[in-house]
Amino acid sequence: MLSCKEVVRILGSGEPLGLKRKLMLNLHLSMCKHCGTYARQLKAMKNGFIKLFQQKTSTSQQDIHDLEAQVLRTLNQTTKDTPSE
Amino acid sequence: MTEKVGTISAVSWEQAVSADSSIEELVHAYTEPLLKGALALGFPLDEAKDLIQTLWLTFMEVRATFQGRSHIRTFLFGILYNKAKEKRRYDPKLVADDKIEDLVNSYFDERGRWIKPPKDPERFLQASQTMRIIEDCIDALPFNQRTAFCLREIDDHGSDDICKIMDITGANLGVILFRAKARLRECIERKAQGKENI
Repeated sequence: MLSCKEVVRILGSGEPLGLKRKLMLNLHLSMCKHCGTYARQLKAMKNGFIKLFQQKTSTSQQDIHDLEAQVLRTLNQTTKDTPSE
Repeated sequence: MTEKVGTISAVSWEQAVSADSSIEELVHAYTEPLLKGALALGFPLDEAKDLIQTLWLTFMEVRATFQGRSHIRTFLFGILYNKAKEKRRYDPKLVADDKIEDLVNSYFDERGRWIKPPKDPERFLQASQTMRIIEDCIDALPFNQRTAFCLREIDDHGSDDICKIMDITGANLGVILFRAKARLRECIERKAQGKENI
């Protein structure tokens, strides 16, 4: 039987689990109120962060396009400066 | 090659960038995910753009040394991670005594049973969907924990790729992710209770 402390570590590390350990984890989560809450909190947290990053990383296509053009200009310039490339 | 780029020499490549794959194609395919990666790591837009410029220059320098056995995406994110680390000054990969470990240990008795279980799940759920709260919490994470969390949970990179990108072992990645999530959860719980950050 896994202890609650072990369950919390497994949930956090995301370590790959064999079949037996996976069954033990699910059994524990179905019976233990606090570990079940902990697991749901990690899941809710992940969803919250996915939303946050969608907001924070939404850049306009124009921005991306400009950056790509700028990168290519810089790279072309560098290639010209070093004929060995 | 004039610049040291950490992980690159240690990584084994699964997939070649073919000799004639055009740099234009690569720039068009990967500038957007790389820029989003830099933003997720907490760089403001202007700094993130500069970082991506430098990244591509470095890529041109090290491209000739390709052995051709990894995915180009992993390779590019490895450069991104190293550039970001330089900007943030060096951050140790894994510290032995992270205080979040003591805190999590204090949740349990000597037999590993809860003595300080999660508090007020309803308020936690609300707080976890409040952008201002979770932004403060992710900004408070150590850089390597933030990187591992973003790559894994947000960008959905596989564990093997993250280990290559960050140049760490699978066991270390597990520890870093555990600490990241424990610290984020603790931070959100404290803010849900109206208390100060750890």
